[in-house]
Amino acid sequence: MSEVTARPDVSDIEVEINLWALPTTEDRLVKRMNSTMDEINSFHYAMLPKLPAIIEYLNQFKLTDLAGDDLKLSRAALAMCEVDNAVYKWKTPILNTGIDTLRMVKKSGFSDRVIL
Amino acid sequence: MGNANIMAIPPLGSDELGTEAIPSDHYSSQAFFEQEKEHIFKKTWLMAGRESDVAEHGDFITYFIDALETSIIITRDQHGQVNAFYNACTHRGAHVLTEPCGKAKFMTCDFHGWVFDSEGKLADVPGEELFGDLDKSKLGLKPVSVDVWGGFVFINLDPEPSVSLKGYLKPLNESFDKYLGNKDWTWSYGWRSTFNANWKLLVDAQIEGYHVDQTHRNTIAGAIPGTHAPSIAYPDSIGVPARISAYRPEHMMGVQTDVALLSAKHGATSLYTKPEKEFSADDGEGVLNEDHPLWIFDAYLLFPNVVLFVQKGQILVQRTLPITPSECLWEVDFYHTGDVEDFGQLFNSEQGRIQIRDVLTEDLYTAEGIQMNFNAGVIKEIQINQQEMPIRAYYHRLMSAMKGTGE
Ligand code: FES
Ligand SMILES: [Fe+2]
Repeated sequence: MSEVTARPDVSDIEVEINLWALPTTEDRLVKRMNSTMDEINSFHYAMLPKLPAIIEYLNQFKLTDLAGDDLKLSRAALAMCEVDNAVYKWKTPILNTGIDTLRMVKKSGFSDRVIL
Repeated sequence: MGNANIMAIPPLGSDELGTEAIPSDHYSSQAFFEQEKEHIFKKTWLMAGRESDVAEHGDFITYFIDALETSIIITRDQHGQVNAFYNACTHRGAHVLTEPCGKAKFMTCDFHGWVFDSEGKLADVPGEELFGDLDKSKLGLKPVSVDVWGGFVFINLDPEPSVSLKGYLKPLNESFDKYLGNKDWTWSYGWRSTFNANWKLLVDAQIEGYHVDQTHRNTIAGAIPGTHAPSIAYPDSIGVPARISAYRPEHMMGVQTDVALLSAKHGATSLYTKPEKEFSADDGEGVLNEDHPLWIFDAYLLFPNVVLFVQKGQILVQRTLPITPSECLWEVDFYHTGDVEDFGQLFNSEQGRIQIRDVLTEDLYTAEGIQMNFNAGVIKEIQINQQEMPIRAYYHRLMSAMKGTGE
C-alpha cells in the first residue's frame, strides 16, 4: 500500500462545492444549463487549483466506500467535467451549435428498449 | 509507414464509385422507403444485441424494427445456443415478451398463458384439451436467422440469408471477431433519441471527416483535423462498404484543458486524449493501428445502419433504425474494459462521456434541417467530395441492395 494522501483543505470553497455536488451527470448537466457564465466560472476557478489533489485523495478509496463529505466532494469534482467546455470552449453555458442535450435520453443497457 | 501514405485520400471516382452528384430522393421518398423495408431490412444482417446479454440459459433480449413493426426475441437455450424468434405467440398473435431483456427459461404469453421454451418450442398450453387435436410440435415460435460476431448478435429476417454473417462482414476478419468479442468488454453508457430525419442521414454524419473542422469547431475540431480522417472503400465487401479513420494532429491544436489532462491519467474513455493506461482487451492483432503514434480510431460502416468505432480501450456503436422516411431512432452505446472501481477511473469515464456527448449533439444538429430541404424538394441532389467518399460507397451499396440481389 502506497502512502496515504491527506484530504485537501476545501473549507474555503465549501459554498461552491455545495452548489455543484449533485448526484448524477444529468443533474449536473441541468445545473450547468441553468447557470450563468459567472456562476460557472466561479465554481470552476474555485475548484481548479485543488482538483489534482482532490482526485488523488479520492482515488485512494473504492468508489463504493465514498460517503458523506467525500462523496459530496467527488460529485463536485465530477461537475468540473460538466463545465469544462463551457469555460474553455463555448464561453457560454449552453452550446448553441448542437441539438438540445436533453434530447439524448440515457440508456440503461445495450438492449433496454421498451416498445409498448 | 509515413503519414503521407496513411493520410492519403482516395482520388475522386476511385473504386468505380463515380464522381456525379447523388440524388436525394432515397432519403425522402415513401416508395423508396417501402423498397428499403423489403430489400434491406428483411434481407441483411442487423446488429440486434450483445451476446453477453444472453450469457446464460434462459437469458433473453428483444429487438424491435419500427418500420416493419417486427419484434424479435433472442434467447440462450439449454444447449448454449443463441436463438432468435419472432416475438409472436402462435396462439392468437400476442407479443410473448414485453420486456427488453430478462431471464425466462420458459416464456409465458401474457394473453392466455401459452409457454415456450428457450428453443422456441411450445412447451405448455393451458387447457390443451379445449383445442381438440393440437399439434404442439408445429406451433413453436417462428425462427429468425441469427449469428454472433465480435460479441454482437446479428439477426437476418431472410430465412435463408444469401451470405453468412462472417462472409457479410469481410474484410473484418477473425482478429476483429476476437478483439470485439473479448469477454472483458462491458457496456458503460449510451443514449437514444428520435429524429425527424431519414435513418441514413445519421449514418452519413459519422462516416466522413470533412465536417469535423466546421461542425465540431466548438468541441474537438483541433483534436482531429478533417485532413487527419482518411477513408477507404471496400468495393468487394457485401456488408462493410467503407471505413474512416481518425488521427491526432502532430501538434495538438485547440484547447487541451486541465480537466482533460487529469482525466487521461486514469484511462482512455475520451476519444480525444492519448491514454496513459494499458487495457485487458489487447488481442487486436491487425485491429488496432497502434504502430502509428497518432492513430485514434477506425470507424467501420456496417451496412445498413451501424457505425462501429474501434479503438484501444473503447468500442462505440451507433445504430439507427427507420420509423418513417423522415423519422428514425438513433442509439449509441459504449463498451469499455475493466470495471470503474476508483475515483480516478470514474473521473476519466465522466470526462469522456461528457466530451463525446457534446460532440454528438453537434453531429446530430444538421440532420433535421437537411431532411426538411429534401422533403420540400428544394435540394434534389447532393455533392460529394473526396473526403466524403464513404457516403458515396454507402450509396452504391444501398443501390445494389435495392436491386434485390441480397448482395
Ligand atoms: S395469444 Fe398467446 S396465449 Fe393466446
Ligand atoms: Fe462528427
